[in-house]
Amino acid sequence: MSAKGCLHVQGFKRIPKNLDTFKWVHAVFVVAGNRKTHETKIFNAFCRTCKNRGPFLHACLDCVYFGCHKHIREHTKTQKHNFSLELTYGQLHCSSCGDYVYDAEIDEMTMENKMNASKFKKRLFDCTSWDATEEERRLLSHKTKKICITPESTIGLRGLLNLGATCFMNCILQALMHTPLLRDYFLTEQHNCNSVPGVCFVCEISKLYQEFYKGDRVPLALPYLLHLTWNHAPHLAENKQQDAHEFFIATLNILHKHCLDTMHKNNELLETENGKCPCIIDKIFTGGLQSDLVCQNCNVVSTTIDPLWDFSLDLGPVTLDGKQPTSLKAVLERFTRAELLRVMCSNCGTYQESTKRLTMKTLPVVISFHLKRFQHSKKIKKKISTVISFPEMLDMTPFMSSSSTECPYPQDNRYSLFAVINHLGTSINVGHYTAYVRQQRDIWYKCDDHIITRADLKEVLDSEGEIKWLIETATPTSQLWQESGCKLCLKLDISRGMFVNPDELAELNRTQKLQILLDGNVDTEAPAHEASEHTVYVYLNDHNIERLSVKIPVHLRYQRGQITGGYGKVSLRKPSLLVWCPKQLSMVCGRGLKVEAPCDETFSKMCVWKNQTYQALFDDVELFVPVGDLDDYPLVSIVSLLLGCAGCVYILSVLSTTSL
Amino acid sequence: MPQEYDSRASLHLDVNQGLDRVTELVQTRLIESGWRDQVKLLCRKAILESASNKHVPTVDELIAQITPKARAMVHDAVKRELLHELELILVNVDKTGYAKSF
Repeated sequence: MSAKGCLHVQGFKRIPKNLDTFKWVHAVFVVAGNRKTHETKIFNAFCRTCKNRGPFLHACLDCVYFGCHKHIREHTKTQKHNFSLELTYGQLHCSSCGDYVYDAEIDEMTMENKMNASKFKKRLFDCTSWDATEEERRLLSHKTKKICITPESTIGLRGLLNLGATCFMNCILQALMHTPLLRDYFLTEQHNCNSVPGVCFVCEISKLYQEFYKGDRVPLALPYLLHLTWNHAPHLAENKQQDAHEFFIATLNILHKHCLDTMHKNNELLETENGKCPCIIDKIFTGGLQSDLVCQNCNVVSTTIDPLWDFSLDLGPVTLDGKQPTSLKAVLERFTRAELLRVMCSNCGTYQESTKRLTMKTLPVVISFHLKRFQHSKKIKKKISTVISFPEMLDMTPFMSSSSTECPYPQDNRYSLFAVINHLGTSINVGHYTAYVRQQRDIWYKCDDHIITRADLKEVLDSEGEIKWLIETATPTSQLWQESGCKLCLKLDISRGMFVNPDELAELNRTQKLQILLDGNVDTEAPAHEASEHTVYVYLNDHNIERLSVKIPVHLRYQRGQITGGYGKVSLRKPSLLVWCPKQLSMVCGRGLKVEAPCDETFSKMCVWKNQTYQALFDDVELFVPVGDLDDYPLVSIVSLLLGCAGCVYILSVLSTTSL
Repeated sequence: MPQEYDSRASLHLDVNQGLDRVTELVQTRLIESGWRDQVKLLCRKAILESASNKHVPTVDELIAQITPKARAMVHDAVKRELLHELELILVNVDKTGYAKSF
């Protein structure tokens, strides 16, 4: 190349279309930042002559042609196309000059592409120089200390002091602090907060990252963060040991909420994500769980996809072959196997045997598995301490939904382990949480509050692992529920065609300790057309809220006869589930419809409840009641009159013959 | 069959960014072992030599001239590590079910 620069490039640059083409080709084939461009690159970047992927693959800028070193030169010569772009480093080749050429304007364009890439590629920056601005130079002069990361360096490791049974928080924070994507997000200061200082949880986490990675080794105490958690998640606000999983979910919830709150100004960003939440938490942790309901009768499949943040995996003793699962794979297999259910089929319109199967539709970037080691059935609370082995590298492909036809090439669904949280102790109420985290590649540390020790992979894999990745034990929800002070109530509307017997309800009150309130007057003898509707409230305060069955006896009333007889229809609606929570907990109740109902079974005052959706074994039930036929009216009345008379005569005759 | 396997392997490397990872690794190792500086020096010498003949070589000429020498200069340790790394990745071609839809 001559010292004056390439004249051909000047001509090339004069046509704006050429520059657009160049920019596009560079963005897609050299930088290949996002998934889509990566895909395009894979399918197109090979030599059109010899079908190889190299060496020195070039793209012609005048036509659609890719070629390796030898063939691109032949192509530009025979076709008289002047420019080609080298695809590994992004250098422009001018065949008139016979060499690679440089141009300031083109360099600027390629730089812009490189900086916009979603992934940093070292090779693209190898040959570029960085001209620091005045401000950058000023900043650099302040920071003269060089930090070198070696396997021995402890940067990024900080102990956390236990503030009195806060190990559940410490271990989750340790795991979060070592989540690579979150770390990158926070250390690059992507969170621009516009809320009042001191309220935002995301800012607090951001500060914590700064503390962790600034190189100090003194343990940290986090009273402020704890206080903030208590404020935002009141169900954890108690000075005693909490469940780590509960804390993890609460933390994600708060982070998610605050991220959204502080993002509302960038509306463009919200729209471009087509319905998916753009916050960092959802980008990293949210996957899609697909549940397929297949009716055995008509084979119609109804599919729903739910977002989820973590897998809660049952370790209960029941399996198909009667054995308890001993590996994470087995537990996952159990989680995704087909289940037999009896539900209403929307196609057949009747209750049919159906199979339900859960699979992964989309996988999150970070999966957390939570092994439910705390069994909570009725009054028995115990910890399942079966050893569940888990691999360092997990392939999720077998658990994906099968219809992955959208992606033309097989995907890499392998995950590698970076954090494990353990619960030490044999029962639910006592115990201690520790965490294993991966720092750098393949170096593990055990974080036990303020003590951090080096661990090896074997020790990690041999640990009990309550929360693989991140998550562990479930303090049974019901215990949490009782502590929260929320109330649950089933509201059952009884239509005119049926009634509940108040005496039976009183009996249930007494024998089964059900708190039932009957609203409305019940005339047990009245036929359907003369009766009034009434409502039954069942208060469920002391029950296991995960699954519950309540039996309420309902009676059908006589129906008014009709001309042709037949059957009358009486329908029983699915009871509505009402939730009432103390004021500060209103977020637990969610966005239900507001309903006014008595606060408790004494009917002393009315409360505003929220109507919740829930999964019931049946929806609305329709019953058919035999109805009298009015055509038979004359016959029936005459016969009954005659029978009545005959009965009277008989009784009188008996009375007159018997001596009193 | 070998050809088919070859294209499958190269697709696998590309799809799963294995090639990127390996390239980056090799690059780091070559810089660490001083290979890049040696090659730079070779290039400089070659340019000076031809400059004395009043000719500035093009990149293509340089590539043709330097490549055989540069290849010979790569340290054995780097080659071994690359081989090992590629083996690790390629063993997974069949293992993780990528091959099933090919």
